[in-house]
This record gives sequence, C-alpha cells and structure tokens, in this order.
Amino acid sequence: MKKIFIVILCLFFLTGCWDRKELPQIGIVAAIAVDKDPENGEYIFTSQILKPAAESTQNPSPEKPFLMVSTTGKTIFDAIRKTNQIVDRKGFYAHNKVIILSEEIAKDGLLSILDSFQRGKEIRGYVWICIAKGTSARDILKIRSGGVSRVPANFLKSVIENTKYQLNSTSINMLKFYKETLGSGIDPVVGVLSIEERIDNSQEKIVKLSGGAVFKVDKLAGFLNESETRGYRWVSGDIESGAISLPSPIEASKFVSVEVNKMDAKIIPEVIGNHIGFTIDISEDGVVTEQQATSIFKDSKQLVEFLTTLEKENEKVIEEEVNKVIEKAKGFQTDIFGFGEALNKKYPETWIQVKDDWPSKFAEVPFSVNVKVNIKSSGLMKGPFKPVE
Amino acid sequence: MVKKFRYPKKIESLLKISQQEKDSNRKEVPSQEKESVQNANMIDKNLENNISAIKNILGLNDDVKYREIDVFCQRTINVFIVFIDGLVKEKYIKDHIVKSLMEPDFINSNSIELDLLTSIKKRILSTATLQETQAMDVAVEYILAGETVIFIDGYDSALSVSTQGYEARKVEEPDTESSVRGPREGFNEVLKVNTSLIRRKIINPNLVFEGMKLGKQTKTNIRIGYIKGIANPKVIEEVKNRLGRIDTDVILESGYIEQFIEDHPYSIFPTIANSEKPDKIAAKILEGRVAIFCDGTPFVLTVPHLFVETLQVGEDYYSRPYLSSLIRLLRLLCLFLTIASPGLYIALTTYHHEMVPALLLTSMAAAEEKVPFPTFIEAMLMAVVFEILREAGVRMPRPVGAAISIVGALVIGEAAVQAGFVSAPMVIVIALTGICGFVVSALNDANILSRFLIMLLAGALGLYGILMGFLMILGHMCSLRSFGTPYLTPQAPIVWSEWKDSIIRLPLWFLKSRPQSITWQESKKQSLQNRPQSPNLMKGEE
Repeated sequence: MKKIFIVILCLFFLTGCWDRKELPQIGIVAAIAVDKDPENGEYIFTSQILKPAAESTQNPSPEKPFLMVSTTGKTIFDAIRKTNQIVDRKGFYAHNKVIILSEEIAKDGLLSILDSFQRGKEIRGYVWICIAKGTSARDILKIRSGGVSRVPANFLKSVIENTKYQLNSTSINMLKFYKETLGSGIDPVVGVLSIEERIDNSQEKIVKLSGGAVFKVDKLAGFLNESETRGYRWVSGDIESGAISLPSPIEASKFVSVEVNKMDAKIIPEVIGNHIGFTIDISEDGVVTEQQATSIFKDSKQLVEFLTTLEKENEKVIEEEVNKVIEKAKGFQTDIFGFGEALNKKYPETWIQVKDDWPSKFAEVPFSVNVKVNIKSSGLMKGPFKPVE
Repeated sequence: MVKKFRYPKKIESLLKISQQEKDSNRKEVPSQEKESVQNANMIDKNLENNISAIKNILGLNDDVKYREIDVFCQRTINVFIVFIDGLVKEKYIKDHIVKSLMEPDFINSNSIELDLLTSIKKRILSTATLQETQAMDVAVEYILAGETVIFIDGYDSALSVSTQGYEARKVEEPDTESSVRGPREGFNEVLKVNTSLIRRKIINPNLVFEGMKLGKQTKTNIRIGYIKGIANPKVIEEVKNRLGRIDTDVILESGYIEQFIEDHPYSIFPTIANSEKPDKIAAKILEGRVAIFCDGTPFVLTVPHLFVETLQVGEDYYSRPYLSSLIRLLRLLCLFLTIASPGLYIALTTYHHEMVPALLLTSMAAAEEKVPFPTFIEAMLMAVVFEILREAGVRMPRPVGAAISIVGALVIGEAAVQAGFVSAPMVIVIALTGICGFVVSALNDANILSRFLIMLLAGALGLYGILMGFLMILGHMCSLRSFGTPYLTPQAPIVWSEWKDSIIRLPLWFLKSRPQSITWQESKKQSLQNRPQSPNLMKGEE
C-alpha cells in the first residue's frame, strides 16, 4: 500500500508539463522570412508576430495587427533568440504558417536553413515554404494591401492553400520538401512569391503567387513560368480544380473555358535493353464553364462534335505544356517529376545502375505524352446562344 | 451513549474489539431500564391513577386535550379521552368517539351482558382502526403520534384510535425534478401519502412496506418498500441490518439515514439515490431496488444506486428511444464538461498553445491580454464566484431574486470583462461549466470537488494532470459499491445485457429482463413478442 502511494506521488511530482506560459507572455509568430546579409553573409531572420490586442473585438485598435522583427545571426537559432532582445514576448512558432526564403538563400541550399526549423520542436512539419523572387523575403511579409486579411501571414497562407483552385502556381510544405529533396529520383519545385504592381495602376504593391522554383536537390536551379508550372502540375497529377482557356472551335478569337474536375497522371517507365524511356499518361475530366462564341447548334450531334473538338484542343494544349516543361527540366538536369522514382519502383535493378549519374541520364531519356481529355458536359446550358437577326 | 457510525470496513475491523465492548455495554443498559420502566408504567385499573399519570407526563403541554365522559351502562363508568390538539381531526373524534360513547341507545341495547371494554371495542367505536395497549409509555407514544387514547375506569388497558389529521402540503409537482412528459405528482412530507402514491402505481400484494421507527428522540417512521419475489432478499436484509444499526437521537430527513447507511462515507460519489417522484421510485422498486421512505420528507431513498442512474431520468422511458438515447449521451458529455472544462481551458492556455487553432488562440490571447491574473487564478476565482451565485440563488428570499440575476449577469458577466478583471472566454467557460452542472445535478458534490481537483492538476501539470485526475476519479469510482453492486455496473464490470438501458436506451420491447446486477429473481420482465408489428403481419399469423 505504501509503495503504491509513493508510486502515485511520483506520477504527480516527477513529471508533467513544464513549459507553463500565460497567453500574454507569448508572441504568436505567424510567418518567418530568411534573407542573407550580402555584406557579412549572416542570416537576416524576420518574424511576423501577431498583436492580439489589435484583433480584439471589444476595443479594437487601428494599429497594425502585427509586428515585424528582424535580427541577424550566424545561425538561424542565434537570430531567433536575438529577437528577445528587442521584443517583449517570447516567440511561439507552432502556429507559424509560412517560411519565405530569399533567392540567395535558396541558391546556397535550403537543407542547412530548414534544419534548425525541423530539428527544433516548435515549427510544424506542414508549414508552407516559398521562395521570394526578385525581392528580399522580408519585403514580401511587409506588404498587406493585397488581400482581405489584416495579417500578411494569413493572406499568404490562404493564397498558398488556394493553389488547388488554379493551375498557374505550385506550393509545397516542409515535410514534402524534405521528402523530395532527400528521396532519390525526384527533386522539389517550390512556390514562388513576387511583388507586383496592382493591375489598376494604383501604384500599390501586391504579393503574387506565381510559377515555381525548380530545385536541384536543395539548391535553386531556376524558375518556371506559369505555363511551365501548369505543365509540371499536369505531370505531378495533383490538380483538384482549375481553369483552362481554349480557342473556340466555332468562332476565331473567341475562347472556351474548361474547368478541370478530376485528373490523373501516371509515369510509366520502360526499359528495353540499355534504353530507358518514359510514357506519361494524363487523363482529365472537365466541364465547359464558359463559351464566348455565339452560334446555334441545330441538333445534339453538333454539340457532341463541338465537345469532341474541344477535347482534342485541350489534349493538344496539355501535351504542349508538358513537353515544354520536361524539356526545361532536362535543361536544368533536375528530375522534378519523379521519373527516377517511378523507374526505381518498376525496375529497381536498372535504377541501381543509373542512379549515380541520374541527372545527366535524365536529360537524355526519351519520353512520350499521352493525354486523354474527357469533357463530360457543356455545363448547365446546352449550346451557345445566338440572338435572332 | 456513543453514536455508532458505520465506519469503512478496514477501520471497523481495527476498532472491532472496542466496538464490541461498547455494543455489549449498550445492550445491557436498556434492558435494565426497560424492566423498571415497565413496572412503573403499566396502565392501572383505577382511572384516577391513570389520569394523574398522564398529566404527570404530558401535563405541562398546552396542546394536550383531555375529555372526561360518563358512559351509562348499568352503572356510570368514567371514560377519559386524551389527544393532542392540531394533530387530530376533532370532528372525527366528536362523531365517532364522543358521540358514540354518549349515544343514549347504548343504554338500552342488548350489550349489557358483554364486558364494557369489549362492547366499546366491538360495537360502539365506529372508527376504522383500533389498537389496545396495556403500557402507559406506549399509550403516550400513541397520543404523541396523533392518535386518540381512551382510558376506561376499571380496565388496565387503553384503546387507541388513529385520528391523525394534521396539516400537510398537497401532492404537487416537485421543484427539483420537473418533467415535460410524465406524471407531475411528487411526494410530500407525509409518509402514508408517499407510500400510497406507490401503492396506486403498483397494485400487487407482493409490494411490501415494512415499517420501523428510527431516532430515539424523534421516533421517525420509516418504511422499507420493495416487491417480495423481485427484490434481492440479501439487499433487503442488508438494508434492515444497516437501518437497525442506526442509533441516533434525530432523523429529520432521509439525508440523515443516507449518511448513516451509505457504503462509502468518505467518497464524493453518492451510493444511495434519492427522488421526489413516485413514478421514478415505482420504476426502481419494479427493477428490484429497495426504497426507504422517511416521514417528514418528500425525498425517498433507493438502493442499490449505480452511476448510470445519475444520467437517467424518468422521462427517458416515456419519450421515444432516439431522443432519450441522445440526451443520455448529452448528459454524459455535460458531466465531462462540468468537471473538465475549466481545467482544459487552463491547460490549453498555459501549456498547450499549439493545440488551439491559430485564429482561436489569437482571439483568446486578445481577451487575456489585459487580465492581471494568471489563468489558473482567474479560473479559480470565477469558479468560486459561480458557486457563490448559485448558493445565493438557492438561499435568497424569492422577492430579491431579480437582484441576484442582475448582480450575477451584469456585474460578473459584463462589468468584470469590461474592466479587464476577467477575460470573456473565461466567463464563457465558467458559464458552460455551471450550466452543464445543472444537467447532472445528482452528482453535485462530486462535480464541484473534482472540478477543483482537475483545475489544480491542470494548473500544475497541464493536460497530463487532467489525465491523471480523471484516472484517479475513475479508479475511485471503480472501487465503489452500493449494497453489493459495483458502482460502475454495467460499464465496469461489463454486463453487456444491461447496456441496452444504461448510457443509451433501446426501445422498451428490447428490454426483456430486469437488470441482473440489481436482482436475479424474476429476471424476465416481459414477453418476447412485444415488438410492434404491422397489422398485415399479425393477420398472417392468425
């Protein structure tokens, strides 16, 4: 009995949660930017700390709801702790949403940077990673005129998550980045943020998520434009929904929009003797969502023909984009599609032979693209309308 | 005399020797007393002696009324009537005792050959009940209980007629247990009314109400109700044993009895149930439980009492099973919330910020920003304030009720948040805690105590502490028994057949047998063909 009592006492006094901190003691960090000081090569660590009081519903203050803090240090952790010298709250990184890295950092290699985030216990694995193109990473965090959210970090997080509604950009979280960097036969593509002028010429700057940054292992190799990014995403098969514009088969200089509902992509490696080749099968289900041309279909047959023509055009567009991006990746010698991984899965023996100089082999492999598009309906309206003349 | 409480078994065995000594001492003393009392207190044949004896005992009392009557029967015989004003129906005494005795016809009747006492007993008194006693102290007890006692000159026994007629509350809807569907009646303070309410529901000769008196000063009437042949005889025996062991001056309410006979006097969980509703008590008696009725209180006790009963309400059985089952689950959730929610809030805001969604954390941080206290202190303060408000709400005189709600709602809820003393989320959490507590109010003391325990542990150890706290409470609950039945039956130990009516309730025609953990006698309670069937199918069977 006495022993049991002592054991129970130990349960209460020898363990338990130790890091007690009241909410007003912590500073919730919503986003992080890492730059490199060009003069001495130190890291410039910028964190965006939320100011809860400014978000209070009872007496909201007009001030900015966040605080930007920049510190420099030889290591990331050093810089993180230096923020305590200039900020009165201890940084709390578990709710950090985005890590933005500058181009220079990316060119030097990201693994050495991300190590401090992944090794420490605070930042979560599914934080988004982005590359700042043509600007410093911390400048992107400062801009808050773009979206609805008052906090740039929330804006960035939502924009990155909305990648699933469009095809022109890509996104990656830290865990996936690690997986693709450390895995053999595949290289990551990271989302790119850039600062642009607003279209209405109001001279306000906005942040835009556009294109992708191609990595060779963990080093930035180059950028993909929006069309190439679309090609990359067709091959990677992670599209949930998106819009494709096709020239109208009925009327020149008019367009038809197709919404992608479902798609699937498969990389099929083939080995014949010493020759390695790849076939990429892409299938897409879509629905017509916009039809600019005005005309009249006499019967349903015409509608079917119209849809079949659209399917052909859609296939052509996808095929072109995929071809272009594969050629570009070959130029960078980075296998962003996971050709090597597919080969490894199907022909492990062949993979063992080629894996050591796979990047150069990848640049030479032949490939073919098969696209099958199925446009299932013309939307809620049957055909185009034409006013009676 | 030493009051004998029921100690827990261990302590009791330690104290065994001294206890036995005390017991033996106690037994001897009353027997001696009784003899001497008996000698002195027999009713005398001489009426004058009896009158002076009665006046000796009750003479100081203003409310004791005497009435002397001369009965003419061959000769004039003095008859003396004693009763207590206010306890009796005077009209009843007038019509059935005084008038009968003075009836002129009586003189001319043929009863002359009969002995006077016998003829009074058998022919004259037109009352429903009649008792005869030869002991003066018994006669006095009858008088004090509201009966009318008749002394007759020349006879050494007194007749007692039950003429009780005192003011009592009507059978009303109980405030503590109101229902939307189901009978509205509730017990009142009169024992015989309470048992009659059960009799009206269970018309069965096997329904037994055994009587006994408890309390040396109060002589409170107790009735043990059960159905012979259904209730477990061992439980009945145990109830009688434990009641018999009570040696106290005062039993004013069934709560006194509960505290003297419960299995675990140190536990925060009640192992004896109470209710004000006859339908609920009848249902429990029919399940094989034993009910203890106590005069002077509308609260009737039932044993054995299981934990699941606190999640059950009579209405569950009257309404259809879907909602009943959902609401039982809801009550379980409320039990969890009322115990854990302040603790969870403390743990989440001081240790586990990463578990709170970011937006929620921001607004919680915004609310806590200006609060000068640590969250733990804040929660403790608010929980105590809530208990104060609740207690004030119960105790306050009705007319000032509005003041409490204004003070409670406006000052605590509104002004304190505005002033920044407490955060709005904390007010929400405490309000939720309080509201949920009312849902399972049968466990009130367990709720409040374990809530503070969980808050302490959460403040010191975080979620780990909450886990430990719940393990402790659960372990304790597993160790409890109520009159031989494990407290957590049918969940621990698992009795699958009883899950049909525990935290969920299946349709009534599913519940074919009585709970095995309460009684094993007459386990089948209804036929197997009760399931409602479509008329077509029934025709086909014909």
